[in-house]
Amino acid sequence: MSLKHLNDEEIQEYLDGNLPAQDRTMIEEHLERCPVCQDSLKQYRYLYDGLTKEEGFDLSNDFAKTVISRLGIETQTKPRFNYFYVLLAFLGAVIGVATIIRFIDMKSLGVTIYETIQPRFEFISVFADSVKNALLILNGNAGLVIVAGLALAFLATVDRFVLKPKYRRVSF
Amino acid sequence: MTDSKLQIERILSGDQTAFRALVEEYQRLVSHIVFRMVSTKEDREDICQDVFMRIYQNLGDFRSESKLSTWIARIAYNACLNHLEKRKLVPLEELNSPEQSLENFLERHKRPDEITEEKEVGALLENEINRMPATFRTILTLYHLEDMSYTQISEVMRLPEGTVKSYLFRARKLLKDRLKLKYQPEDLCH
Ligand SMILES: [Zn+2]
Repeated sequence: MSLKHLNDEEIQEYLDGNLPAQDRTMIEEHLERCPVCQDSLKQYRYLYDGLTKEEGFDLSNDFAKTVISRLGIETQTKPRFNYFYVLLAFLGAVIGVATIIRFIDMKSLGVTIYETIQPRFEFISVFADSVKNALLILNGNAGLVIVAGLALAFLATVDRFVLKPKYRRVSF
Repeated sequence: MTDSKLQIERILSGDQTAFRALVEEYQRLVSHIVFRMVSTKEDREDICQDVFMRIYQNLGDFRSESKLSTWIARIAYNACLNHLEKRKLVPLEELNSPEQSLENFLERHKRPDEITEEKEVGALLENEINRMPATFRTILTLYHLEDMSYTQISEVMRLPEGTVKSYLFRARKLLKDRLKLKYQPEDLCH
């Protein structure tokens, strides 16, 4: 048994369990015979117990949910919204054009546009020419454009209600 | 592949359930650090949320040479430091040289006849811990509550291992002495 009392570091190392077996035995031998060091050990042991107790504060019950929805707001909804409205606008334009084509005499309209544009802007006459041709073709097939519009509407519905959950998972 | 690596891959591929599980697994660790570092109650939950958002946004940078808990604790610790610096809630000198402020603490609390109002030992201990510099408080929490090694703590706080150990030993000696002033060993029944 050593004559010196154990110092604070030795007691803490002992309680931490970081000492080699030989040192442990020496400390235990001293402790058995020394009430002063026993008291000190007791105080430290009490402190250690206190430090191991659960402290802190309670996070709200839906903490994880809040974090996830905050992340969702910032990474997921914006691109979804833009994409959907671009699609809607495109669909509207297609249906609008199809309706106009259905009720207007495209042949004479096309000719009028051509005759107005052609003399003033000689350099875009090639473009005006192709516009005229396109309008003439569409006039005979307005039904086709409407079918195409309906097909797009169908695709948009599928996208909105069937594919959307999948997008959400990927973009999350 | 380790469990946490698999979990991270799932989160990175967009698995919301996997991220939720991660939040639930580590919210205790994060809240302990935030509790020890930040004393303003109304800021704590927000900081915890920010910590997990940062974790999510930086998960791709996680390198598996350190433990996931160490990496998460480090993000939480940094978030707290940023908060304290930004709000100037803790004097800068305490964050830069916590040692200095422990000395101040000892200076201020020298008188053994000081009357303490705490009735329970637990409350006294809590009070004494709260008076310490944030660095010392955090080391105590990571070591005793989170069972982290000196190596892990030194990674979390970017302090040399020797410093972590010496701070830990000094903090415990100080707390033991404070308890001793108020309570005789025979009061500390087990
Ligand atoms: Zn002794």
